[in-house]
Amino acid sequence: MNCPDFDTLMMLLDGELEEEKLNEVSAHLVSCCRCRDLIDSQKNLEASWRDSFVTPDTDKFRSMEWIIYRRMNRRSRWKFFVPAAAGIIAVLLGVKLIMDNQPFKGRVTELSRDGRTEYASYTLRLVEETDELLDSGIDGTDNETVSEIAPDQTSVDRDILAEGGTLETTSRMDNYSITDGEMPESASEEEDAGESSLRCISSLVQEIDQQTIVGGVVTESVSGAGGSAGFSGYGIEECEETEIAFETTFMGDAVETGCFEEQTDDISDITLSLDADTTELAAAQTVASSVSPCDESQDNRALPQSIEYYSRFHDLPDHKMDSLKANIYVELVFDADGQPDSCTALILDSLFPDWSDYISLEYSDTVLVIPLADIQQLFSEM
Amino acid sequence: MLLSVLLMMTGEEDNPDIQLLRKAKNGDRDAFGELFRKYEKRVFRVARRMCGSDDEAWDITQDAFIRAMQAMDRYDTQYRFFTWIYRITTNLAINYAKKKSRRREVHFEEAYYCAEGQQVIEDNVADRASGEQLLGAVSKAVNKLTPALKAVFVLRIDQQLSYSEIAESLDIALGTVMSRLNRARAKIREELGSMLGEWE
Repeated sequence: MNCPDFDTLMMLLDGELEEEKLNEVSAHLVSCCRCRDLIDSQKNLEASWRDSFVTPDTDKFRSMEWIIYRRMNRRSRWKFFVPAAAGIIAVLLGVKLIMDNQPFKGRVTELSRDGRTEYASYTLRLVEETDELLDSGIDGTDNETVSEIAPDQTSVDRDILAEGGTLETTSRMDNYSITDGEMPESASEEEDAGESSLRCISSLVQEIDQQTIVGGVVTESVSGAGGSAGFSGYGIEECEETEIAFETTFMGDAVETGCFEEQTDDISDITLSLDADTTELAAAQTVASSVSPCDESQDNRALPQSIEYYSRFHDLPDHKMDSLKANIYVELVFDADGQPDSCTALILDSLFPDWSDYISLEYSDTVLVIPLADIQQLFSEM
Repeated sequence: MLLSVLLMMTGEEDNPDIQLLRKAKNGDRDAFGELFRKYEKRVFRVARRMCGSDDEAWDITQDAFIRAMQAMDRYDTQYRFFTWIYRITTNLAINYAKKKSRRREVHFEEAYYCAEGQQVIEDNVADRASGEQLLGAVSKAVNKLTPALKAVFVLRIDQQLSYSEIAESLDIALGTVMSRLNRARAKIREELGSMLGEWE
């Protein structure tokens, strides 16, 4: 018998030959080492190629499963809950965005209308002293004078002083503490519900209004290492006139104090201060203080009120409300696989339903601090 | 409801994949998870073999499952689910390849394989290349196949589907499967040249 053609031998290799032909070719192979070699070489070649495949980690599949399910589920839900979308958006404005008690390790991207600043390999954790705010009331009660706070004040502060105003501190501030290297130990795990809810709300509602100092948040804007950052001057250290006192806090507890030179390039610890209009933020926090939206232990409690509720509650004029909305910053947290945390996903679902079409691994290990109004634009540009 | 009736009429109620798909479509998280985990690696593997990079393969995998869920109403239950998901996957991969071709991209990994393969051929001082070199050359040769040939080759060699399963997956005739597979193999052997030794 002449040697079978290549196609026939491959069909034999694939087990696809009909019985009669199979017997015929098999008989030939007994006496033809050339055909056997061909089959063997092809078999080995294909096997080595097949076995060379490296399957990715299971974790990646789990992440993808989560994404697809969320996406599918969201779309089906959306059909039924479109009328409630506005309500969801509103509710989300009172929902905690980020930050459990563990420090976030990864890139921190600060987005603003002035551009984008990356802080690589930093650790970010929300810090604040909101309990004191509530205790002290909307107007702030610490009533420290400027001279007691820090010797070197911002121009805004000076303007206020020039106008004869009284600068008061509420000894509160919503801070992002970005520390290169070691983070302070976590504060008490047993924080009470009020603190927890405040931590939630203040991480969501950040009204950035550097020009409004109601209740007297004192902030110095300084260009430090890594970009523009605000430094809080609390007067907690006796500093030279050319220096600014600073305090790094975590969960309301001061973890580090000291002084640094203004405009210094050698700053290892930076506190990004997002100053709020204290009155309005306090109001929002008051609304939120009765609930703890992202505290699972309290998930049966009512969610915080919407910004519309907030508006009615305080009877804010429309232009003020527009301004407020435009200046609300939200934080979007993404893990190492680029997956948003649960609060971030909720926010994105409601504000930008198609976010998963645009999101990418560019956001892995990242916290985005971004104006609420810019979310859609941000993702659409990806 | 209509789908359920149709499934009963076609006797597909006993098909666990279809039941899972239906439940998943209705938001059943466990059903979706079970279905996804059953096919995730196979789909990814086909996607990865068909395209040039892990990133593309992840995209294709995600799109394949999403499309499967979305197009469930159009799913012909006379086919097995895995052949359907393979069809979606290969079609997506072919579309990716077309887009990529238009962009004239050369992926790093392909370039690597090209370089390695070329180096192997140029350095063909031995009758047979080392296993590693041969594998690089095979990968390069597979990547050079047209998407249609590659799809058949991947489903047969990597997924070890039978000819009829490949025909069902790609919605082509059995004879077409055989001819494409043989052409793919012949082209690969041609690319490898003397690395495989003489035969023909």
